[in-house]
Amino acid sequence: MSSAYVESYVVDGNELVAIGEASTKIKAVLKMLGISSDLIRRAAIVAYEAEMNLVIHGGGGSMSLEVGPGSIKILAVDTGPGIPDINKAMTEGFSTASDKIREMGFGAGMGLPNIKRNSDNFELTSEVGKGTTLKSEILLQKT
Amino acid sequence: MSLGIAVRHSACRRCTKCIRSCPTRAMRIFQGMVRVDDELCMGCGECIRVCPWKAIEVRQDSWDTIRKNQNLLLTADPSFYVQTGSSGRTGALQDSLTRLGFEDISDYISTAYDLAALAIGRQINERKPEELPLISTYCPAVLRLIQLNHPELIRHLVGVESPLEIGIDYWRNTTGRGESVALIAPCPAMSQLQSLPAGRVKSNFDHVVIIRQVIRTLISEGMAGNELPRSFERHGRWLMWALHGGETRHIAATMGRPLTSIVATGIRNVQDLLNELELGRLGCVEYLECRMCDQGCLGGVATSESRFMSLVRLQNLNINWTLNKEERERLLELYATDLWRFSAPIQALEQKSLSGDIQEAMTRLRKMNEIYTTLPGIDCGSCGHPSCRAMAEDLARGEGEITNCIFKLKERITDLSTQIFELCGKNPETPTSLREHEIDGREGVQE
Repeated sequence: MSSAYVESYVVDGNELVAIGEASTKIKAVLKMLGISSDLIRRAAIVAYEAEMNLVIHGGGGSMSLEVGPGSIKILAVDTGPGIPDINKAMTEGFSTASDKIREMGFGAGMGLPNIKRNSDNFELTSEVGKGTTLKSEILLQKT
Repeated sequence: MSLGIAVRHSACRRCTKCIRSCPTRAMRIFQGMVRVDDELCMGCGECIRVCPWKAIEVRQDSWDTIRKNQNLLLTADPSFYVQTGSSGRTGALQDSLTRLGFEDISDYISTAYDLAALAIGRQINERKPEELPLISTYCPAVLRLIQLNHPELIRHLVGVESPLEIGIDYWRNTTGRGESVALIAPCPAMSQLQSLPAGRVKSNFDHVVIIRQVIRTLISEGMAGNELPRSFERHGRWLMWALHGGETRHIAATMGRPLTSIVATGIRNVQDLLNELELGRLGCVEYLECRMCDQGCLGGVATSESRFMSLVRLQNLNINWTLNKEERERLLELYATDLWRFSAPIQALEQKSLSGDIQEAMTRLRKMNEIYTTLPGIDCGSCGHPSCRAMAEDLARGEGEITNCIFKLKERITDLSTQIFELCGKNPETPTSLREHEIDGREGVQE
């Protein structure tokens, strides 16, 4: 029988210091499942950037990890302000992060392009005023 | 001698401090004995620092045997040379070793450090910007941490051998001699070089002794000098590798330009920095100098002097960072010989997954999560596992028993005693009561 392993995480939008908690957990789970280190590295980058977006833009939200069959899926959902122009948001260097966030070293506008680069399948849907949903899939075995 | 640390079971009180302090969770208490997983131990010496009973020590060979051996070459880690002396001055410890009858080969070693610095600088220059930063391989504990927990960063490791090893190779090649060599080491990780050489098949070191052991002898015999030999001030660049930032400065000096580097010392800083690199957040940085001990090798667990005092001594040295023309020419010749290059690849150490089969691993992971939610979560260590999570993980692998947890044991006892109490309240139809009933009945008939 082949089934998926699912875990979900709540990301607190007010906790800038806790950034990276969910992605650290995701990395630990993948390690214990014996996923190869290159895939773990890619999944960790996706998870970390997605988590940062939740905190910085989405005002918090939820993340989930689904492993198998055949792929690692990372889902990040928020009910924040939404993205008015997805194409623009996907441009390297484009960022709407506040000065406070930039002072902390984030908001360089590399997050979304970085997630896309490390995913095999990538889907971003957003509605202004409603929220944003990000889906990333990394295949366990490339065909 | 296989690994860097040894447990003296007679002194161990099973207080669990060591198993809880281990950054790679390499320690367990099993059947009343502290066990170290050789695969996971990186030789950082954290367990030695926290043990209140002095029950854990750095593995070393007998100093008495080494010092009596006239056919032995003795070489020391740079941190050795700043262990004694009045404030701001360094003891002439090389002279002390010479007086014990050991030959001074520090010129070879110092040249090897110059060579290593030059080779690292070349490797940095040869890499494309997106392949940077390179990570120093000088601290064997950091190297092992990367092999264990960050296999994907192995491609960032600089491919230059330990200058201590290069120095011995250089000495052997130049003199054609083949005596055994002993290393004076500041920590378990350096002492581990002997059994687990980095980037080469066999280490040059046949014996290892720790700094504290040697210094103790020198002090007790009144042989720890107070002045630094002049040659050390002139060529003292290599001593600075014992200090955080010294390696970077040496590399930058050979490159003739400033180096964008991050220096991280102490376990937590090193772990944080490696995590950040893994997430691709260290753009524009060219080099990472990581040392597992606070302040660098001066903070090694097997040193004898306060790391703050040895730091002051190193900082007060008047180091000449510029290589003269003659030195540079000699180095370029040596560079061409590839003496410095890794001859064996650095490989990832197998990750400890729950199972080789992903479906089985998922089943075990679910089981582990289930077990974990029932554990108290206070990480007391009484069960012999380093944390509740580690216990849940071990149990999911089928190692250990749930009742090793004193809280679970108490629950089991409570359950059992409740059952016993309930049983006590029952009035069973025992043969005795049956007989009384029958007797009563018979009596009734008789009446």
